[in-house]
Amino acid sequence: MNRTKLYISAALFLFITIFKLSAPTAASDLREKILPAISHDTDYTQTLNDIGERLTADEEMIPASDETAVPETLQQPVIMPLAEHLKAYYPLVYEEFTSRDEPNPAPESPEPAEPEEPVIPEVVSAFLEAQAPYSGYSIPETVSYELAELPFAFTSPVAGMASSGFGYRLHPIIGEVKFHYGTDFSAWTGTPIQAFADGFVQAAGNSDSYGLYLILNHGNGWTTLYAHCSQLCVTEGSAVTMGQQIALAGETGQVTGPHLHFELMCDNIYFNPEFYINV
Amino acid sequence: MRKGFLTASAGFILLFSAIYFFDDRGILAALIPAVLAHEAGHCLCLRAFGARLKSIRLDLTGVSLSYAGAHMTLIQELCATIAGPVCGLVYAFAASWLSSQWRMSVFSLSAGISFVLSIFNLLPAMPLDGGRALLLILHRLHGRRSAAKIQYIMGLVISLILLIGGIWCVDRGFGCALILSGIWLLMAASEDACKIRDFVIQ
Repeated sequence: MNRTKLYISAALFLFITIFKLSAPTAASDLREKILPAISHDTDYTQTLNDIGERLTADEEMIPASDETAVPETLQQPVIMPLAEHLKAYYPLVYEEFTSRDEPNPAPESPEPAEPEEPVIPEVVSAFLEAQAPYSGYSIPETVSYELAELPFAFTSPVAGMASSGFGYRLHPIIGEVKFHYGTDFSAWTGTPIQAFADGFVQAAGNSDSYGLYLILNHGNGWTTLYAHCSQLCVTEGSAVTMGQQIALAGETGQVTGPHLHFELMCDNIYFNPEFYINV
Repeated sequence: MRKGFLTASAGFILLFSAIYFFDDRGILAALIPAVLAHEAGHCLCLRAFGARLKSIRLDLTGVSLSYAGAHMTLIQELCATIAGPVCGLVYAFAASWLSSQWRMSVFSLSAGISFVLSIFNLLPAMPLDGGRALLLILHRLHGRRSAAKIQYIMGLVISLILLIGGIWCVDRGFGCALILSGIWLLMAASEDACKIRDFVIQ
């Protein structure tokens, strides 16, 4: 009966060979589609972790933030050694024990006061204070912690609270420190999403990690991105006004729950959206 | 313990070394308790029915327990076979609860691994526990030869389902784990594997 296996395998081999010989372009298209799909490294550890957690979860999971942001720019996942782990969880204790001995370990950490700017906006200093446990990590090159002045009127992209903010954050499950390039707003599927400001739709698309997304261009190099939508209400190229409904929130892409992932950029530098939006 | 109680194949040692080398997330620390819980389930049940563990073999098909000294009824044999996955599930819930209490990812990871392993082991294809349980029943109903044949076909069908499901997963970007498990099962399927080796639980 092992012959059955043999026949099946032989038949498969014949089929694949004939396919490749008779339709070489189709075959190479299929190859190009399959290879990245196979080598795409699904985070099995994360999935198994989630399964393990949910076995005894009592409450419904609140809309959480996505694990992998930013496919386009280089994002290095930072794995935290134990000392840093403690530092993040017990910043006061850590500081008490180390402030006498250690100078600031990271020369590139965000300086709270640059000599040229004696006055720090309160929202920026509050943010830097919250990021203090991660002062050992340097700011990514494509990021700015500045409170830049926006040359246009703007509004919040969605009604609701931010669930996960811009900047470094300690992932509660993995225990890794990752940089979050935007702000996540809790929003159940179907919640209307509004344009941050006047402009036009620079891009509308669908990606593996961002899901259904929109990029709006507001002029002077400023763009905003709205990801994980369930539905897009505008098309590429159309003009939008501030507050106009452009999409509905959802959970497309790599997410653990429905939310809006919002990014604010100027000339491909990420700025902190929470400096401008009341969360 | 007698000499030769615990044996391991070369393949197993190589696989173990590879996992250990590439492990940077504590996967091994999570995997080992899950496997231990599964095998402990088998052992405890065998003990309860009066069997004695003779040897343990570690190879690429998993952990094989050889036992002796028990004349078990069909029900008892079925219990001993299912005890592995059941114990694994119990462990999964326990580890999951522990992870919510102590907030350590190794517990939730172990719980997830154990859960997936137990469910997978319940598939009715040899050399999985589910396959062995089905084979025991078929044995009783149809006799040795027919049972092996039916089990073999069942194994092929299950592998095919896993392969198709695996292709769907790859298409959706979920990775190739399901396909690999289907291939593994397909390779493990053979008439020989579908003969119950008396007194061996995988």
